[in-house]
Amino acid sequence: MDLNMVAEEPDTLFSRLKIAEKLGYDMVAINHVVEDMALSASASKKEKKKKIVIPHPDKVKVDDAKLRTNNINVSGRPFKQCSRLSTIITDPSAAHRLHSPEVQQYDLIAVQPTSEKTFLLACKTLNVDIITIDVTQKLSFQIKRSLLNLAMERGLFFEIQYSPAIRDNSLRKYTISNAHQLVLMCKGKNVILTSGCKRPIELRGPLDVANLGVMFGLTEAQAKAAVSTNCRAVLYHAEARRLTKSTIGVEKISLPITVDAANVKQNDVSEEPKQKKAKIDDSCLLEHKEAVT
Amino acid sequence: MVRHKNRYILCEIIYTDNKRIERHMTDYMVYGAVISALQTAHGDFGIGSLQSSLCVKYVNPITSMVLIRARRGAHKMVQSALYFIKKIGQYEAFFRTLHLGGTIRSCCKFLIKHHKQKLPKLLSECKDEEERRKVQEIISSYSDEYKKEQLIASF
Amino acid sequence: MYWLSSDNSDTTGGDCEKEERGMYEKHVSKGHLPYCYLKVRLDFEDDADIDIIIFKHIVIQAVQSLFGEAVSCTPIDVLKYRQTNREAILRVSSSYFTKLWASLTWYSSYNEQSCAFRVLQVSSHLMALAANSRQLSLA
Repeated sequence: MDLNMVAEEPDTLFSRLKIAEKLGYDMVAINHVVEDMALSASASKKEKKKKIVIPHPDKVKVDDAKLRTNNINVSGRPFKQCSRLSTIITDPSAAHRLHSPEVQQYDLIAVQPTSEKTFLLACKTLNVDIITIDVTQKLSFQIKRSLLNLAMERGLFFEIQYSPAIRDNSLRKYTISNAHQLVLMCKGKNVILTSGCKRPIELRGPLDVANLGVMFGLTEAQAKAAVSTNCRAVLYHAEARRLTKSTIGVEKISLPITVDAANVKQNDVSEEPKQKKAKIDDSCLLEHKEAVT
Repeated sequence: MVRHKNRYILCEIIYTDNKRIERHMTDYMVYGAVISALQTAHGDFGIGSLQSSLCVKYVNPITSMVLIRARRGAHKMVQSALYFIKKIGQYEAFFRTLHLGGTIRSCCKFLIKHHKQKLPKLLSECKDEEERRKVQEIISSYSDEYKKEQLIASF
Repeated sequence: MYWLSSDNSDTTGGDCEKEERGMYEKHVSKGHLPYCYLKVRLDFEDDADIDIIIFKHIVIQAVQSLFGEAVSCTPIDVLKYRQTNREAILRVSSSYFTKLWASLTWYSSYNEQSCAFRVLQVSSHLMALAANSRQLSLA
């Protein structure tokens, strides 16, 4: 069972995590929201510096809490946290900032498109894990099936947040209507239901959230997957995304070849593959060099 | 291929004062009445699921005919909500559902049939000779067609 | 449905109590049971005193705001209510069960106080709510 967004407000964060653990969640992603990936370098640099620091103190916090409170999860698995960054993309040109290494350090990256262009960008090219659909207002763009399929092939997931509607009752209609549309279009696959809560009272248990999914049009199995299996898949996708960007160093090791009378033939044979290997290593190095630069 | 299947509900507005006068009725007023009825009958869930697909396609203030479009899965909610309507715009009126069709064409066909059946009744309510003559002409032209259809069908 | 008589003489070893023979009735029910039972707790951010009438009013209000008059007319019964911690056992017919659950999930404020319904247990049998088999605790 996974919960995937707890908005950042440090005063209530600890109580929120406590309640999440009590409700039965295995894992929580603590989200840092960046309103605009603006081109103003100074402001964003400051923010980015803050971002890098934040995940670490939280991990320290929860360990203390576990010592105090009983572990309510019957399975006995420890409560996990991961860091997440979300941005609202209004300008396609600002999206290239997502490729910077500070952003990529986060465990999960989510984007919220606001227009058709940015939605197309997010589905096709951006290196992210989650696409958030803003459920608090009428969708300004049409969700197209072709784009959804593209995103699904890439392994992206679409997120529906339920806490905004709990905070403000009048937003319920928009949440239901946008969620209905999304579920219709994507046939219920690759959907995750997350909280986005700012206060502990806005959190709901995992089975409650799965029931909400049923109301949005998902089948029971899909709704349960939206809270558990799909969230796990997002984490795997995020891991894969982070690993492929790392550089692998290939070193050429030259082994001393001892020539024995008995093993002459064997050595002859073994020399060739080594030479071939050496060639491959060189070409690999070249490729890596090209990729890195 | 995902087809957005719709249901078209053909309704007649029946005014409680039962007068034959031309009233000012727009699709916006009908839409407002339907949405408020949905809110009382089915709450936020009803409005949420129908917000994108609910549409008033045709309003005829003279014949008081209204054509409403709704998503196929949710059209039952709209139908049941129509019973709750007591006031449309500034008039005391309610909806009488005539036909539920999958396309606008099927609703049109039904509408034409419905009007044809109504014409003889109109004839009896005619006040002027000229009006009476006009209505009689229309009826005879339709009855000719009807006779032709019957002949063809018998073969 | 048939009678099962327990004959203690069949048991291996031990004392046979032939004075009392237990008579058991076995019921086999197929398909959906008519009612669903929910064990819920109403949590407030700040403490609030809610008696049973207000509690039922809140539940019906929650259903009405989300699903409207059509669903709120179904009989929802509060079988038991504990005022100290605001826990209750609700009964609703099986067809409206998911709707009731969804409306309890969405309900967020009463009298401008934030609150949340925590659904503790759910079952088609009232007996199952007596103990929480997952967490091994007795209510």
